[in-house]
Parts: sequence; structure tokens; C-alpha cells
Amino acid sequence: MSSPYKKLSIKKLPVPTEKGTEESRFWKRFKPRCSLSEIASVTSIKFSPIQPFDFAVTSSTRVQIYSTQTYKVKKTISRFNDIAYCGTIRNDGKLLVAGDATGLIQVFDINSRAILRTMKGHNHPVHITRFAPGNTQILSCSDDKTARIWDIPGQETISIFKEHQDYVRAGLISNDNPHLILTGSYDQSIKLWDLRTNSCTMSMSHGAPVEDVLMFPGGGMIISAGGPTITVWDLISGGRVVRSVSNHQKTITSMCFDGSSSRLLTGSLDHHVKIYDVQNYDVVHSIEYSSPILCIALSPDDTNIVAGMTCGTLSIRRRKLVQKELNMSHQNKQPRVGSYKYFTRGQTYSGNKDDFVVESKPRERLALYDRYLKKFQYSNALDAALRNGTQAILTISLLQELIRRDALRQAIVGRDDLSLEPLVKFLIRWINEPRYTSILVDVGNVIIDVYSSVIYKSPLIEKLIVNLHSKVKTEMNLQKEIAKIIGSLEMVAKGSLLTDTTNYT
Amino acid sequence: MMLNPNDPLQLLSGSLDGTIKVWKYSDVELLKTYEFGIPIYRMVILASYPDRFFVVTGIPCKNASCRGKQKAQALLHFRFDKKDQPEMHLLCKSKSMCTGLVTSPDGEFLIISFLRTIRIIKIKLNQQKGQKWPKYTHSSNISCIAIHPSKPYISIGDEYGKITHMYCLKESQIQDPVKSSVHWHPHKVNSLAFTSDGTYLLSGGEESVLVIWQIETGHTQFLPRLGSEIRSVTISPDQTLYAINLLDNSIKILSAINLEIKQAVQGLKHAQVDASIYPLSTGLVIEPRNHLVVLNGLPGTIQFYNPHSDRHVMEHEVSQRTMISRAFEKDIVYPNVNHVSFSSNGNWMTTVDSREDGETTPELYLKFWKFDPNSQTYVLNTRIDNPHSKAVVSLNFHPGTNDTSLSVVTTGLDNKFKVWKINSESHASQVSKDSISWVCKFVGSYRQYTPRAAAFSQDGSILSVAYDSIITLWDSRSNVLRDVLTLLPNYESIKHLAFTNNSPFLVATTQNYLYVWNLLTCTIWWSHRTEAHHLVVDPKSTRFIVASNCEKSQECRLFVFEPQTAIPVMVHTVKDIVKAIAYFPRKFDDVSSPSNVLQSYIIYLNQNYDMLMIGENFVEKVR
Repeated sequence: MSSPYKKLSIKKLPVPTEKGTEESRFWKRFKPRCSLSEIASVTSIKFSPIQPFDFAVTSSTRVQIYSTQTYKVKKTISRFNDIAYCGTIRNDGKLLVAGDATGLIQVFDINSRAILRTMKGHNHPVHITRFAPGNTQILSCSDDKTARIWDIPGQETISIFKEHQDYVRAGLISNDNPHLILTGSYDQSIKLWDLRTNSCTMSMSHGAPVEDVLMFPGGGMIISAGGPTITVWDLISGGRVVRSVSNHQKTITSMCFDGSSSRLLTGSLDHHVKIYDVQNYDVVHSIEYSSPILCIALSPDDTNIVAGMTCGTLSIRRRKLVQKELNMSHQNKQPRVGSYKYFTRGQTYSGNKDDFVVESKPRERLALYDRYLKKFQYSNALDAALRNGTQAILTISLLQELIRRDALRQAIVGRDDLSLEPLVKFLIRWINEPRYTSILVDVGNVIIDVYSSVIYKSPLIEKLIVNLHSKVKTEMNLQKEIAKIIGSLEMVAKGSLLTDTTNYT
Repeated sequence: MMLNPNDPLQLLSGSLDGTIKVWKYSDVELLKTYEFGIPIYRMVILASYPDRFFVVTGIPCKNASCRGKQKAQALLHFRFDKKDQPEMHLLCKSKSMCTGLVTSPDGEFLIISFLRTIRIIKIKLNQQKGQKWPKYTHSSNISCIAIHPSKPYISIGDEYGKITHMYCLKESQIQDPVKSSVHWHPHKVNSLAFTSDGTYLLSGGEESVLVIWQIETGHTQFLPRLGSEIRSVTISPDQTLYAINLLDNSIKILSAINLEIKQAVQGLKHAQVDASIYPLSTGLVIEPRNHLVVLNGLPGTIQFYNPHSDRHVMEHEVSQRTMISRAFEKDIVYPNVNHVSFSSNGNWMTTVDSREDGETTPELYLKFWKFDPNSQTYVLNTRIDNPHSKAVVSLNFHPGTNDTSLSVVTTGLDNKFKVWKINSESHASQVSKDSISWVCKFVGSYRQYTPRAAAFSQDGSILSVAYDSIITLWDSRSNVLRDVLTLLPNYESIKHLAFTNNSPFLVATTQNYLYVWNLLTCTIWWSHRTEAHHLVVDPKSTRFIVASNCEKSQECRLFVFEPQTAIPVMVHTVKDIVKAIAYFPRKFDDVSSPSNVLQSYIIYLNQNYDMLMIGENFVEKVR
């Protein structure tokens, strides 16, 4: 056979390096999904640790439980006398605990929303409530400078930790050793308590009011957030500072880990969420929000980032699972008998390792523009490459191919205003992109050549051409300004070089 | 050229030098030579009259005014008697070029077509009597004709791509022939051929599409994208094979059953390319892996050629494109490969290709190709758009073999030279190992002079860049300017620059001078006043060649120098204009003369783009 038709080769342009890292591509896949507005600022977001990973949002005098499937409210718990704080779902997803501004701690059944337990003891707002890993105890931290451990069945205080000098606004119970409790307070200290001795075993000073603490799995390292800095401490070597990082402009209000505890997310009042690699605490990605952030949470399966803000907005970013992850999650599922999946099961079966695989050669499918190019229908090919949703680089490659085939004019002539519109719009959109400019200027020249005598007849095209003109003009002004700045910078550089040499002599 | 119809082992060839030679091709033997004394353009002989030739010749013009115009041509009939004395009859003549000469299979008719007219001549033993056929004129310029093997009509292809069947061979239809035409080709039909049973007609033209017409039904079958313009088509007598001759200097043999290419014979492709638009800019480059010669092929491609076996080895598409023919009168401007260079271990190839049609923005690409041992081809690794803002004038590879120290230097008309290196450290942590790429590591310039040539020393430590008449020496590792050598008559710019092997000399040539610098003292060692058109350095010894063309006498003198002395080791004159020249390493098994083991062959391309090779023995004989 004679040589096969060669497909249009899509240009590959160099990508700027900041787009390039795997990491930022991963975090960029979190696309804004929706943003919901609450009646007051959102103070706490906690994910349920079990599927389907619902999350409890505390705001004003109520706790709402949202579904991650529909982003609709599933349950609303509003039986609080005052502002509620820190609605947290238990490990089994059945109970929810929350404190309130009167110092009351209430335990709810999520399904019936009934109050199961009420614990009185704090006389100031309780900002932190947590379930212990054994599911029978609760940690609470309050503005009365104490932290308490409660027994759920007996509804009574087991231990009180009183050594803090100011509000206690951060606290957690170690997952690996339920006897260890970590609290952080506005007196700038982080204290590690041991339930067995009921005493403080370690105290560290953060240097700013502590807003949040986190503990790595294993319990050897902790992270504290206070002011615009996060500090990493090594507990095993006696509370040594491992690293202190300050990347935010304002106070960090919230922290969370990703599912594998390999990345750290911090949310701050400066509207930013930053993501760190816990190997070296370099910021690998940063997300900007519209308002100061009070709390941030990432779902345990790393698909949803939920941020609560002072203005009461709840912003949800969602990442689509890639095919590999989907396959992994569905690997063990047997399709229901009779379903479509049941009949197509085993399609992706790739055989055992030592099976002989008969290779099937799939018929090469040509894209629509390629099919038109093959038939020399240049005008149709251009239309096909200008359809909505086509990548700009593809259109550029096609235009380049048309120029190479000396067919650009052929593809452009004979259009009415409606069919010319997408092309002119494309020009307007991309003509100032430096990598495309040279080709698009040629295309623009041809359009003006061909249609200049009839442009005024169509108000649509006339308007677009005026747009194009103004865009080119602004770009040219911009270039002039840039040239000026480069010139003056060069002068400064040369001047400094001159003074350098005079210093030497 | 044709086969003798009476003896299938004999081949006849007619040529412009006025002879027809009879060859026996089975054992390569010249049997007989007929002398005509006038250039032969076309010829036909008939099976029934083996000693008669029908020959189309050019008539020498009598008055000087018609010189340069199209030559008048005439069809002559020669009969050789027993003593080989020619007897000549003039059959017909025309003022225009002959475009076709065919005989009907039964040997009854001889049809000749000129630019617009067709003459039919009935051949009889005593050709005095016979029906006189009128002169038919065709509405457009005829490009080729063919005669149907059994039915009384001829087919005419014209320059507008139309194929006309004219029923004019029957006596009843002589005066008013019936015509029918089919039209598919948008351009000139270059060749027509009927199958011997007369059911199919094959046509080919500039579109590089072979069209197979089923004559009865008008059904067409296409074989597109054959690679180049079709010049002629023939069909084997048993109708199982089609042979097509393409403009890219190749012959392809197709099976008539499934239209698959059975065999292809390929020559040097550049020979047929219009050298004024697509010059042989790469020169002859020796590929280090298999010692193939690399040069421009069709526009946008480079060709790998093995001169030992005289075989085309591989064609490499530098800029990928689909072969299409022009849509209008104007030719499509294809990208051209300007420079090719190889790393010394053959793992990397670098190319520069550009496309400039004068209307749209010129394209300029620098491409880095990595050798893929599985497919034995080069795979594109990095493409750099517009490496220089103006044309690239030279491209050189660092001679080192270590992949990490590899570098490439390009010089451009934008007064800059750039050093490109493999980007090894970037993304090393995240991206897998095979995603290495090339990046620009250094941009150098010297006082706004234009760098014309660049060269690396043999050990790779020094990079020298020639600016107009100044040679700058740079430390290739740290990219620091080391020294500046200035030529004395500084109004001539340097054209070629090379380091000699195993000796500290640097050779530079300008329009009229040849300079050899000693790099130890940084002085001119000796110089010559010669017109040096080419400069090549022997990779195996210290010698170098300066080739100097002489347009007047159409010959070229090759001076072989040792860098130490100004007296050439040998001077060799060839009777051609040398377009490109290179040293070609000797084959490993070719050690017939032990004293010359180190020396290489010299290969060069002459003005007809024939590749010639000069061996040591030959040179010694000439000397």
C-alpha cells in the first residue's frame, strides 16, 4: 500500500515550569464545585471518617451535615442555646458531639438528631470537642482555660487539665495512644498530657496564640499553628523544634492532613490555603479564596476540599477520580446480575502474565478535521477545528498546516458572517498569546484581505473586527511599555556595573 | 530505451549522443552500436522489421534567430542495410516538441504527438501507398499518448489532466473521429498505459496518485500518496506487475492484485529537486553509527545513503507532512532541512529546518532526535521553535561521547551563537528518566558581528566561532572568551572553519584565502591565495582538503594538505563542479593496501548530483 495518511501533527509548545510539576497538576484538578452560604461564619468542618464521607459544618447555632454526593444538607441539628462549636462525627459515623458558647457539650444521634448526652461543667464557651479513639470518651477544650475528658456512658468528667493560662482553642487525642492528649492555648503554649498520671508531661511554647494542632500518625511528631507560622515538633526527642515555616500573611486558623498524611493543608485569614509537602515543608500549591478562611477540611479519600469562611460561605472544591483510582475502588465489586456492567464485565481483563496475547490492531480513527483534511475540504476542516471545546493549540496546528499547504486563503474565503464569526472570535481570544501571535497575524491578514470590502455590511463582524483592532492596539501599547521598562532596567544594570568597576579601581 | 521485440534478452538504448546501442543485459555486454550522428529523443522499432528504426530527432536550426527557442523536431525513418549504412526518410516534422511516439501492437500504425498535433502514419512494407491520415489538433497541450491494444482508438493525456479517447484508427472514422474524455487529474497527466487485454488504463501525474480506470464501466481506483510525482507507468506483459517511475528518483513495482508495493529502487532523491529553491544545504554528513552518507532528500526530509553498496538506506522526515500537490499555478513551499549534525557516538542527531514563503511568518525549528535502537530510527526528542530570530547559519556537535557533556552550538544571522545542552537536573525527582530534553545554556555574541561558522576542537575543549574576519576562541566548558584571532586583510569574511585532527592547527577559509593558524602560538602558520569553496578535514588523519571549483573549465581542483606545510601533499583535478565533499571512512574489511589503512575515501557530489567516490589508488594514479 502507498504511505498512509499522516494525521495532523499537533504542536507541542514548551510549558512554563510552574505548570509542570506533578504536584500542582494534582491540586489543580480540584475544581471549584459549588459554594454554599451559611447564615454566619463557618467555624468548623469535620468529615465523617466512613463512607460516603459526609461532613458536619458548624455555623451559628446549628450543625449541618452535608452529603459529598449532592452537596445538599442531609441533617440539621439546631438544638443549641447559643453559638455552637466544633460539631464532630464519631469514628463509626453514628454520633456527633458539639460544644456551645454556654459551656454545654451535647452528644447527638445523627440519624434521629436526638440529644443522647448533655455534659455540664465548663462555664465558658467550649471550642473543641473530640471523640477519643475508643469511642467512649470525649475531649473538650474551653475558654475557661481547662481541658476535660468526659465519659460518655456516665456523663461525667474523668480528668481536668488546668495548667493553661488562657483560652484553650486547640486539642486532640492521639489515635495511637489514647492516653496522650495534646492541647494548644492562647497562652502560646502547647501541652502534652498523660491520662495515666493526669499531669502535663511536656510543654512547648509556640510563640503566638495556638489556633490548631495536629499529630502525625505514630504520634512522634506534632504540628502547631499560631499566628502566621506553623511549627513542627519532635515529641520523642523531648519537644525539639524540627521546622518552623511562615508562608501566610495572617493568622493560620486551621490545618488538616491529606488521606495519607503526606501533605499538609493550612487555611489562613489571608484568604489562602497552602499545601505543603511534609518531607521538606515546601509549599507545593496554593489556592486563593474570596474571604478569610476559618476552617479547612480535606475528605479522607482526597476528593473534596471544603473551606469555611468568615463571610459564611462554604466553598467546595472537588477532584474527579482518575480512571485508575476508579478501577481500584471498584476492583472488588461484583456487578449486579442483569446490569449493563454485568454483561460487559471482564472486558478489561488483560490476561495472565504468561498467557500468549494475540494483538488486535485497532483501526485508526481519524478526527473530524483530519477526515476533512484528507478530502482537501479545508474550509470544513477549519470549522471542525473551531468548534467549541477544541483546544487552542489544535486550531493553531491546523492553521499552520493550512499555511503549509498554501490553503489558508482557500479555507477562509466564501464564508458568511455567521461562519466567519468563530474564526474572528478565536483571533480576538488568542492574538496576544506570544506563542500563537505569528500565525494568527498571518490569518488576520488573510481575513482582512479577503473581506475588507464587505465587512461593513455585517454589524456582527464589524463589531468583532473593532474588538480585534482595539485588542491589537492595547497589546502594542503594552509592548512599547515593556520595551521602555527593559530599557530603563538595562540602564540601571549598566550603571551598577559601572560603579562596581570604579570601586575596584 | 526499449527491449528488442524479437529477442527478449536484448536491450536497445538510444541517447542524445546520436547512437543506438544494443545490449545483452543478462551478461552485461554491448552487442552493437548504430551511429546516427544526430541526437535521438525517442525511438521505436517494430517486431516485423528488426533493422528499421523510427527515431525522433532534433533538427539543427539553420538560422541563428531560433536558437534558444523550442527546437523543431522531426520523425525520421532509418533503415540499416547489411553493411550498416543508414538509409533515411523523413516522415513528418513539427516546430514543437515531440510529446509521444507509440506503435499499435500489431505494428500497423505509428502515432506521433507533438505539442498540439497528432499524426498517424500507417506503416507498410512499401510505404509509398496508403491512406493519408489527416493532422489532428488537440485543444490543449498534449502531454502523453497511448494506444489501445485491441480497439481502434488512442488515448491522449493533456496538461489540464484530461484524458481523451479518440476513435480515429478505423478507416470510416478518419475524417471525423469520435471523442470521449474522462477527467480526474487536476494537473498534467504524465503517463498513460493500457493493460495488454485493454480493460484497464493506468494514469499518473503530478498528484502522485496512480489512477486505475476500468474502461468499460468508468470505474476508478486510486493509489494515493506514492511519495512523489509520477513520471511514467508501465505494465508487465502478464499484467501482474505495475512499475511506476517517480520524480524522487525511484522506481516502485506494484502488484496488480492488491496494489501493494513489492519492490522499490531508490536513488539519490535530491537529484530531482529544484536546487534553486531547495539547495543542498546540509552538505554531505557522515553518520557515525553505520557510516552512511546523510544529505537532503525531498524537501523536508533527509536521506541516508550507503555509498559502498550504492543503496538508499533510509529516509527520515524532519518535518512531518502529507504529500500533496499544488492547488493553483503557484507551487507549494515546503520546509527545507538546512543543517544536520550527529553526535560522535550517533546517539543524537540535530537538525535545523525552515520554511519561508515570503508571505507568512517564516518558520524555523531546531530539532533534537534520539536514536531508538528498537526501530533503528531517530525519534524526535526536543523541538525548539525559532531558536534564533534570523536564519541559522551553522550547527555543530560537541565531539564528546559522554551524554552529559554533550552540547550543540548554533550560530545565527541575529549575531548570536547559542550553546544547547541536555537538561538533566530538571524534574529529576518527579518525572521519569526518559524525559530528558535540550535547553539553551549559553548565548554568546561578540561586538555585534555576525557569526558565520563555528567549530569544536577535537578534544572538545575549545569552541571557535568565526565572526566576519575575526576568530574567537571560547572555553567550551565555562563559556569564557579565551582569545581573539584577527585576520589581516579584514575585509573578507570567513566562510569555513575547522580544527585539524591530532595537531594544534585551525584552518579558516575566506573567499580568496586559506589560512592555517597555529593555536600554540596563536599566529598564522601559513596562508595561501586560493578560491576555496569547500573545506573538509579527514577524521582519521591530520590531512584536510580544500576544493576549489572553476566555473569556466567546469572542473574542480582538490588540494590535500598536511597542516604543517604549505605545500599540498597532492593535487587532484576532477572534471566536475563539486557541490559537496566529505571524507568517507574505509570499510573495516577493506584493507587491501596496508599502507593506506588510515586513509579514507573522498566522496563528492557533482553538478548533476551524482555521487562519486575517490579511492587512494585512483588518486595515486592520477598524481
